[in-house]
Amino acid sequence: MTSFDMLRFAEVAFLLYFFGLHGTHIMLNLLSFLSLSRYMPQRVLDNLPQVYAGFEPPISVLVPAHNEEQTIVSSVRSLLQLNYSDFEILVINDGSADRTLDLLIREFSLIRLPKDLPVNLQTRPVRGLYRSQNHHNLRVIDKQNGGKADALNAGINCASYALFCAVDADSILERDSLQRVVHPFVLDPLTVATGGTVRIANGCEVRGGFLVKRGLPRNPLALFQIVEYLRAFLFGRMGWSPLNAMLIISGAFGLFRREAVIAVGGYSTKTVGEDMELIVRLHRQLRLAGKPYRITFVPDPICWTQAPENLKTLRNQRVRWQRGLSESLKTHIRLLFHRKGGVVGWVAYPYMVLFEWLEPLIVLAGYTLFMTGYFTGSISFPVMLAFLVAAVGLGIMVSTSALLLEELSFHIYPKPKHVIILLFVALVENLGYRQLTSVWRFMGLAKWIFRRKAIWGEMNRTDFTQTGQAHIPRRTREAVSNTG
Amino acid sequence: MGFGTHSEVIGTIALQVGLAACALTLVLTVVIFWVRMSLTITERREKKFQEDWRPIMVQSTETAPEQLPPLARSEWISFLSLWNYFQESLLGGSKQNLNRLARECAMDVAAKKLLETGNIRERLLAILALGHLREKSAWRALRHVVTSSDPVLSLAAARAIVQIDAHAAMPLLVPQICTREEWSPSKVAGILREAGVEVISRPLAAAAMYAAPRTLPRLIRYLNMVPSAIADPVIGQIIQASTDEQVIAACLEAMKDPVHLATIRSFAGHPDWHVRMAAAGALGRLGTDRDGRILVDMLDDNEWWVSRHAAQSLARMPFVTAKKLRRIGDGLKSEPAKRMLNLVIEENESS
Repeated sequence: MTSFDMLRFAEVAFLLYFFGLHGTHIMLNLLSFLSLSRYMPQRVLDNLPQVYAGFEPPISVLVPAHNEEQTIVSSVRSLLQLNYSDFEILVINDGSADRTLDLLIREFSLIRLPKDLPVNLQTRPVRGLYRSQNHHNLRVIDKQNGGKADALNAGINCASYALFCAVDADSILERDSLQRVVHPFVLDPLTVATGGTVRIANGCEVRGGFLVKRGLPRNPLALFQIVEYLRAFLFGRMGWSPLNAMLIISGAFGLFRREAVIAVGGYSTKTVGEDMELIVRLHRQLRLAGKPYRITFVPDPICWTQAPENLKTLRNQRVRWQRGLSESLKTHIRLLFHRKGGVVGWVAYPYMVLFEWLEPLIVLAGYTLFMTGYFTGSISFPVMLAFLVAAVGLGIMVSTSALLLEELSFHIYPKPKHVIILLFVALVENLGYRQLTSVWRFMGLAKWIFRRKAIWGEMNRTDFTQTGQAHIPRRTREAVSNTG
Repeated sequence: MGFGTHSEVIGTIALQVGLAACALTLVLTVVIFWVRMSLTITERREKKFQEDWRPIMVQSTETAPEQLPPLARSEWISFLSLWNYFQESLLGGSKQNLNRLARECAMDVAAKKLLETGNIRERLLAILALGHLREKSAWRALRHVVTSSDPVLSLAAARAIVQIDAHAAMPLLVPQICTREEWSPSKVAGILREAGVEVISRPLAAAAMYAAPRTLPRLIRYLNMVPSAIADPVIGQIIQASTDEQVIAACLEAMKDPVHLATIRSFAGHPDWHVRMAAAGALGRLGTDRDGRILVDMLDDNEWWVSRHAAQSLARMPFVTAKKLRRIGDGLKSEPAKRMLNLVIEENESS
């Protein structure tokens, strides 16, 4: 094969790849549209006053906390105000070096209990177990530092109820979030996990731990991420959910059947993407064992999180996400095209491998080839331009279709100017930002291949459990949730 | 084909796809603006409607308003949304007054029309309204919806026919409860509660006697709402005949009559820990002094949850005082059992 032939082959391959990538996104978009058109009318009932029949399954809310002294008290206070008939809150202090535990003891009048916990999942040693004297449904586990996955496993060991909800300490939940996310468990006893839509809180107003006013941030990076999250959740998750092939539930907010998670060994402490890894493992083990199950998605915006607003933090986050994705997919690669793999093994997994895992590699190779071809004279300017028009045009179309889904469903940004801004962002993010994230994700892939340690980095987060004004530097510990 | 020609073909395809994508983006943008515009108009109209009608509805819960503004066809949905909200929020006589208001506005007729021709949202609102209105003339149509495949519509219709005539609804409703696994247990429980204990008790008990093992745990939970005198004999028969662990555990959780104590004790050593855990709970609820000793033995169970339930049950027993509980703890030889009992004692003392 001559170099010309190779170039011809590569041109066709890259173009087909781009068509495949965006074509799949359009298909997912259509699936999401169908799902939403079935789901939205039912919300009429959700808007009526709710009466608890006493048949709602009780939920243990697990809140891993590591050095959260700035936000932990207000976070717990807002969690205590959630609207749900029966729930407990279990804060797991994961070896904090600051005053996280002291503040919890003082603010919630904690008293120490004998630390006799069941050991369904092995964790780092538990140092103490506390219970609030003021709030009967609040307990705190104090343990040696072992990371978020280890903390969640300790929480699972201690949880009193059959369902547990994993929540980031700095997530902002809607008051009815538990009520909404538990729905699939109530409707279908085969449900083992549900995830909800996570939205970006930057630019919104928060009071008393709850979001009171929705708005858009001024920071362009945060704006780009809003469109990214819309793509990821409104059709990335929503599209796969009816096929029972969703491979990610965000670590910021997810509800799980405790026994199912224990049966597969709990959260893995060996990956930076413990949230995705758990879901892939649940799929793998349940599929291969031939057990019927459901992993579903609730499209309502029920959890709000803060997005990085500077390049360094965003880069570290994306590098880490790609690394977590790589670890999860590599660990369970046997599910790929497994005869018992079903839609997960034969459709969702290949999609993830081809269009999420390898995407940065292929996309960057494509851009490099066309640019190199142009500068060496093997590709003419019109052809290169045509390629760019196709790649960028399809990207803009997919982002715009996510915005349309948002407008047809939740339209959470109230003002018409928000729509105009988001449309503009959907256009602009394809002219550099998405390519930049591809570079970062490529770095993540490379670091995973060369086994470089993950960097968590410092992140300026707003203590938005108060009023959304103060900027407090703290270490970010978002879970890996691919939003690409 | 030469290199240049090949590239040109690729370029042409890419350009055409790219331009098509851009054109589609433009179309999508127009649709987005159109959706937002209609949403804004709808919201404005809705706000205006609420400003006009909310005070009328508030007044109508007490006395009939003297004059009602005309209600256009386009306002039916707004009316039903607001009216259903009031109905779900209020109790007693106010609901009757609201019904009078709806009938004066001919919303009973409108709801029946929407049930026939509306989209899912409109049909849902219509079903809710017809139920609140106790609209007997809609019985046949609602009955048809109860057996439809849509879980949300069918469940709403089930509630509506119960509101219209609970006795007449039971022969249709109970078989559906047995077979419709997609129906939310919480909503079903709400419907049964609305129907009333005297109406549901016998049909539910009869259904439980002949239900398949798969549906039994769910039905047994509903039997919790039925008086013990009716439910317990049925539960006793089911537990004797069943080998399914889930069914046995559900029966143990539902038992309210000490007459079953011998049966409950026989499950304290069952191989399945869920059953043992349910037995510990039942012994705590119904047990005698003798059962306290069984619970003390269960404190040493290999399964943490059984041990915990045994400790909690012991602590709940009316004749076991805190002092006695401490004494039991001191007398325990097994360290894990002692730790578990101490944990529960301290939890109880702290709460």
